[in-house]
Amino acid sequence: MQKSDLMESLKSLMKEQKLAVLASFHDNEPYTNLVGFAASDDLKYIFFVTPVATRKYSYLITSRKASIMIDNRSNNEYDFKDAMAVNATGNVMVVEKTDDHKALYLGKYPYLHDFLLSPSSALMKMEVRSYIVASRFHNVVEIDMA
Amino acid sequence: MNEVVIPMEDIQEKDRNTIGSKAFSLHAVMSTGLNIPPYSCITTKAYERYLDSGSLQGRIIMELSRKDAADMRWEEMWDTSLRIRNMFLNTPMPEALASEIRKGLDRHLTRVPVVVRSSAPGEDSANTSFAGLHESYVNIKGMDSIIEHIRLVWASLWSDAAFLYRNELGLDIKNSTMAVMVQELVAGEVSGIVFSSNPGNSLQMIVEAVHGLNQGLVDGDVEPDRWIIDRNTGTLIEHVSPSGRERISSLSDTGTVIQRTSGNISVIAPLNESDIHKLREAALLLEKKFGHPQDIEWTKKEGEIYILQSRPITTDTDTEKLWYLSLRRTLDNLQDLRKKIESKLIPEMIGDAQAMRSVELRTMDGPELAREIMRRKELYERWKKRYADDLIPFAHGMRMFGRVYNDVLKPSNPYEFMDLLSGSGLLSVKRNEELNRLAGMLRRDDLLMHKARSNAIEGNFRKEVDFFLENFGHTGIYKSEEELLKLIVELASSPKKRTPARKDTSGLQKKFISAFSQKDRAFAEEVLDIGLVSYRLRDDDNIYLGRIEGQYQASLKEAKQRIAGRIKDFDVEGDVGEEELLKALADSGYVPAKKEKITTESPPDREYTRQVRGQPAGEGLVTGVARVITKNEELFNIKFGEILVCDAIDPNMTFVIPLVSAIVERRGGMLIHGAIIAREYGIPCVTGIPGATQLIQNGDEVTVDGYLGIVTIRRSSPR
Repeated sequence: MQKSDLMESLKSLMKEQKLAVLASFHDNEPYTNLVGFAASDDLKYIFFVTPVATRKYSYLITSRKASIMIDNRSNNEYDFKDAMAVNATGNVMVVEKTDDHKALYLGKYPYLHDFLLSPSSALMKMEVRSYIVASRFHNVVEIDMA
Repeated sequence: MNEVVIPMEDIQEKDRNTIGSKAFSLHAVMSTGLNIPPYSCITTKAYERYLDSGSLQGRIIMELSRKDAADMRWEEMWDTSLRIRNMFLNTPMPEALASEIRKGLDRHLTRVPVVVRSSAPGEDSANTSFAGLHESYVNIKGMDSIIEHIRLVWASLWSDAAFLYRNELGLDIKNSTMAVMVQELVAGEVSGIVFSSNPGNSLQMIVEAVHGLNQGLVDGDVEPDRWIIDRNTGTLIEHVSPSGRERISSLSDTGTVIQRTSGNISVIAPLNESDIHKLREAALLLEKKFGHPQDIEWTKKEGEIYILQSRPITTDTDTEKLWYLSLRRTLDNLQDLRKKIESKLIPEMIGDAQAMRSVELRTMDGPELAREIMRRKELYERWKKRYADDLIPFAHGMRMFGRVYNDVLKPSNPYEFMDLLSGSGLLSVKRNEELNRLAGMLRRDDLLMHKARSNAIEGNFRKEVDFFLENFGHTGIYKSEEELLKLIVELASSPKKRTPARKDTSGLQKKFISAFSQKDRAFAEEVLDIGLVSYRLRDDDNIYLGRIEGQYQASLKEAKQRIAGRIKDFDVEGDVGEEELLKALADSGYVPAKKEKITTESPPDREYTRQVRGQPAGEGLVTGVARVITKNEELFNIKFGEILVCDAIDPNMTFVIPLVSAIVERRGGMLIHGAIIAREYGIPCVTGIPGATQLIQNGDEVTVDGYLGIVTIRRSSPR
């Protein structure tokens, strides 16, 4: 696949998929959650929201290290041929719920309006260091975003 | 072909599912030759396009994900319904869809007053008929208002009553849909209903009629004349006149209104023999047409009878659901109820409690005391029933106000209306302020504090405590003065004095009233007034009921003190049941048996709930140590800053609120006592956490997210 094609596939995957697996890290143990996410147009940043009284929030605040897996599997045998899985790795921080950030997130999840705006939830931004894209079972491409 | 509007003359068999049961049945009525008011159908396709047009579908899914409806109490269903209704109110109809409806709707219907009725597919099949689950709006004028009310009818697919019958309806975001009828309003001089077969006697038919519109009869505000007739011969078996015909439902500028009848109408029965004969003929014809006994709504104008709707008769025997449906009251009904509560029930409750207090229990012999216990128990049980019959329904006043507020202001927060109700002088808040004053006395005087700690109060403070007990202490909660002193000492030792959050509501009140046109402001003020009184009484009436319960408890306490000496190995307070107590009072030699306690051994838990979602009933986010209350006496152990975790809080328990930093409650709802008192004090509150007192242990660290309704539990130690 051409590089430009891959970026386009990546963009459309990020747009279409509603949930991703977020992996955080604490006390030498990984910890995973499902999160709704929205990526910036240039794919440099991935945004998600979490209540502040959660493990993932406290782990991310402490270590900042995280990875996010986004995939399009449909839970059948064709997945081995057709599914695409992307692993984004980077650092996470809490960011202001600015109008631009809100527009990006609510553009994808308009129904999570109250969740995003709740004073008890935080908007998190991952600065993506790299994407690792796996397709056709064992084809793996790494994209350096730094 | 317009896919969203079908005029009545174009209806075909294939349209049954897209125009809904009511619209389809009325078309069948038309085919019998009976008169019906002209109508057009807004098909389910319009509802589906509206739902798909923005974020509405996703938001409803989010709302439904909050909690399984099977775990919801009726108050939570009302809350869910209110939130969804507010979503519809704040989601405009896409212009392309509105334009198609405008084009398709019969011009005539936009020039005359109409009724905008629900017509849900499958709502009235031969086996199931659920009248009144969805909304209809009477006397709607003009295209814009029709469009707005179509949205409200759509919203009623998710009404509280629909949630109650969700299993019977198969209520589900993927499959449920709603059609709407826009029907010319025929303002009859006389209206009523016919049961083509009396549910109690299949050989009979029942006709009910009122002067004016049907609205008053359907809402229960106008008592009808009732005729029981022989189905086969038409012979009149019985005519039951109402207690009065002074009330009539008439058209107002917008909607309908209950007025006093004028002239000699009140002495004239609404129907004559010829009318009854015509109605019987029509009912039999419709029963034959549909092949099932029918419940028919009709009206009579200028001598002609019009059939408004016809649906199969079904009899619901689920008393709990029927009780809930009976809570829905009209403004007139609530105003009548208010008079009854304020002028009769509350004075009677106060009087009964006072009369019991004046009875000297100590001088009674055993059998006399036993009789007094039974008398007090019966009185308490009777008041509990009256509470359920009249006082709980009056709480609907604040719900009615909330709906009116949301309809007219369409706020983004569907509970904004509560800001206008809080701070209205609840008895429980006055009691708490009095407790704070007593705590202030201790705070300023170390010696007094010392005496209070050792239960040795005297002088002025003694008088103040007696005065408090005189006014607020006669409930079932305070078992002893020591407990009360313990509470006051804790309040006095608290690092921070927590007082009710005072809000200036004048701006909000002005905003509400001025949203109405000049001629409707009197109505707005009446609804606000009912909301305020309902909010206050919902809390206060529990305090009065608590006084009755307190007197019953006082008689049990006297009995327990007397027989305590006969018991050696167990505790009279917790281990002796009422029956044994009564036996011991009747026989001075009888030693009461210990109450059997059922204990179930459960294996050690390998799993615990760490996070659970309920109703966000009071805004705020706080983390603290849990104090789980399973018995009232545990309330007196609460320390400042703890998080109150309980099954169901009532106003007789809320004296601890100035100490706690948040409330978590099993009973769910946004307008229940816990939520109300949390708002008064501005502390976070999450209600509707199933098994709250089992999920959370004393000492657990708990985070209460009152914005999102999430409770997070961090276990203090393994079970």
